Amino acid sequence: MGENKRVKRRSFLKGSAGGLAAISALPGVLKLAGCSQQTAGPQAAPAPAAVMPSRKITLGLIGCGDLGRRHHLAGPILHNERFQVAAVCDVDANHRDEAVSIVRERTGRRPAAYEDFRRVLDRKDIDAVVVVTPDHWHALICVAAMEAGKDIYCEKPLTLTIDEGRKMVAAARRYGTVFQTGSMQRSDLRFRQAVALVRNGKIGTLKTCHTYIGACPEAGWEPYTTPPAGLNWDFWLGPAPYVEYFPGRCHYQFRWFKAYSGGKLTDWGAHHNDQVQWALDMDTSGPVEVEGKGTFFERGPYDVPHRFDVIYRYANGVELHCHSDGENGVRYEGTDGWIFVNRGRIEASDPEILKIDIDSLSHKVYNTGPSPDNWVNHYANWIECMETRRRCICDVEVGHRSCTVCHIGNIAIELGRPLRWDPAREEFVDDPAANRYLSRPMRPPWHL
Amino acid sequence: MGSLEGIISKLDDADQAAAWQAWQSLLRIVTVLPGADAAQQAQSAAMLAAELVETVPGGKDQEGKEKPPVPRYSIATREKLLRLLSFVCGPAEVPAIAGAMRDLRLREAARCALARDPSNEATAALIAALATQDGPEFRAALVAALAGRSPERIMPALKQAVQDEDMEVRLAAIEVLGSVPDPAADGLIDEACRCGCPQVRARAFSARLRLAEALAGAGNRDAARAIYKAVLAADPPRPQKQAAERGLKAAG
Repeated sequence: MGENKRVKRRSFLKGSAGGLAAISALPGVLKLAGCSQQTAGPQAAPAPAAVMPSRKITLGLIGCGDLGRRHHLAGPILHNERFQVAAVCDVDANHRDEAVSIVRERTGRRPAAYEDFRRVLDRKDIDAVVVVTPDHWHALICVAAMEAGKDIYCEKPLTLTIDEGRKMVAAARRYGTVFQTGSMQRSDLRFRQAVALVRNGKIGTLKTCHTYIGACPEAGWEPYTTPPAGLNWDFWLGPAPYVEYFPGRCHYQFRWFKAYSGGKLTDWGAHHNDQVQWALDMDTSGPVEVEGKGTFFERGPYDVPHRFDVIYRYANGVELHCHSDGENGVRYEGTDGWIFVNRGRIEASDPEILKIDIDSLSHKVYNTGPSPDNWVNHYANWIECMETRRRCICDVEVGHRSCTVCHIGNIAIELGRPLRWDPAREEFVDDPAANRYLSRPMRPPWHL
Repeated sequence: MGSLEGIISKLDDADQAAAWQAWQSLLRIVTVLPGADAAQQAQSAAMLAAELVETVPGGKDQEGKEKPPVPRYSIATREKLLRLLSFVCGPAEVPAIAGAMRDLRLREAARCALARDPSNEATAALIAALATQDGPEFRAALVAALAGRSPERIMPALKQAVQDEDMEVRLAAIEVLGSVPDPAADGLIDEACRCGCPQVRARAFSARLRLAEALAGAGNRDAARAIYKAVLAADPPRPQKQAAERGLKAAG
C-alpha cells in the first residue's frame, strides 16, 4: 500500500464514523492485503460457525479485572458495533458487577453475570469469548471454550507452562478455532515496520536482537488475612496450589508469583520476544539454546526473577538477548545497521530506511490494518478471521511459541545452567531434569 | 547458608521472609547446585527423602511407656519438602513419597511429586493409591497423573477406573484414555459412556477425538478413521461433529 493510499484510508476512517466503529463497519478495508501466506499460515478449515459479516458477534468476557474492564471491555469491545456483550464472568463479584455496570451504562442492556466460566461456555448464543484472567487459568478456560465451539481472544502471556501451550494448539486445530493472542504489538504500525525492514534485509544480515522488558517490582510481605467479600479465593487459585490469601498475591500482582505467571519475562517478553520471533519468521519454531542469569529478591514475597539477562541462540546463528534493564523496546542489529523500536518511536542507524514503503517490499508481513491504535487493528483482525476462518496474526501457535521463548528463559535462570532446546519436539535435549519444568500438576479438581 | 537441618527447620518459620529464604536456599541446593549431573541430582533427592521421613522420639505416655516416634518436621515443612522433591525425585524416593500420601494433609503434595516423576515406580504408586485413597476429586487427580505414561502399565488401572462408582474418576479415566495410542482405549471410553451420564458422554466425544489423533499420529490411520466415523454416527454436539469431519478428512 502506498503512503498516499494509507493516508487516504486514515483520513477516510477519521472522517467517517471515526475510530473503532468505522473500522468494524468496514471489514473490506481490513482484508489481509499483502499478507504473506508463509506468515499467515494455512487457512483454517471452514466451519459452519463462521460469523457472517452482517451479524452481531455475541461475546462473553471471562476475567473482569482492570485489564478486562478498562483495556478490553470499555475500549475495543464496547466501541465496536459488531460486538454485543451477553455475559461477563469473574470470580471476584466486585469486578464482575463493575463490568455489568460498564456494559449497562454504554448499551442500556444488562449482561448476564457469572462466577463460573463454564456457565458462559454452556450458552449456545455466545459466539466467542475474550479471556483476560490470570495466566494460570488461560489453558483450562481456552481448551474448554474450544470444546464448546467458541472462538477466542486470549490475553498474553498465553500459558503458564509449555505443555499447556501444546494442548491449546492441538485443541485449536481440532476444533478449527479462530484464536487471537493478545500480543497486540503485532498490529502496531511501528513494530510491523521494523519487522518488515529486518525481514527485507534493510539492515543487512540480522545478527543480534535485544529486547528490554523491565525488572520485577519490589514489595514486602503482608499478613495473611481473610479474602475480601465477593472474592472466591479458592476459585481464583483454581489449578494452583492452595495458599493463604494476602492482598498482594492476586489481581495485578499475580504476575510476580511463579504459581500464576512468569514475571516480567513472560509479561513483557510476550510482547518484545514475540516481535523477534516474528522478525526471524520463527512463528512455528524457536531458539535451540538458552542461557540465563538472574537475581531474586532476598526476602520475597515475589519469587520470579527480579533482574535478568537471557541469551537465546537460534539455529540460523542469530542471538536474542533479553534484558530486564535498558530502555523498553526492541533493537535489531544487522551487518549493515540497526533499528530500535518501542511504543513511542522507531529509529534506525540509517534514517532513510524508515522512509521506505514497506508494502512495496518483496517479503510481505501480515498486516492487520491502518489504525495507529494497535488494539483496533488487533480486534479487527480477530473479527475478520471469524468471518473468513483464516488464522489471526497472533494465532494460538504464535502465542504459544513466543511464550515458550519466555518460559525456557525462566527455566534456564532457575536451573542456573545453559540448556539446549529442541523446538520441533518442544523439549530440552537430553535433560530430564529440565523437562520436569515443561508442565505442572494441577490442583484437583482441575486437569487439562 | 546454615546446616541443612537448620534451613529445613525454618521452612515454616512464623517470619514469612525467613521461611521464604529457607525455601529459596533449598531450591538452590536441590535444583541448581547439582547442575546437569544425574548422580548429584539423585543425591539431592535422597537427602530430601531422608528428611521427609526423619522422626524423633515420641516421648512417654502417662504410664511412662515410650510412644512411637513422630515426624521430625511439621506438616507445612514436609509439604514443602514434597514440593522440592517433585523437581528431582526418582524411583528411590517413591516409597517415602507414597508413605506421605497416607496423611490427608500431605497427600496432594505427594501426588504432585509422583505426577512429575515419569518412573514406573511412580506409576505403580499412583495406581496403588487409587485403591486406598478416598474422595472423588483426589482419586480423579490420581488418574489424571497417569497421562503420558507407559500404556501397558496404565491400561489395567484405566479399565477399572472407567467403571468407578465416582463420576469424577470415570471422567478422568476417559481423559487419560484419549491420550493412549491404543485402539482398545476407544472400547473403554465407550464402556464408560454406558452409565448414561450426559457429562460423561460429552467428555467422551472430546476424548475420542484426541484418541483418534493419537492413533493417526502413531500411524494407525484405519483405527483413527473408525473412531471418527463412530463419533459422527453417535450424533455428537456440533463442535465435536465438525472436529470429527475435519479429522476424518485429514486421516484420508
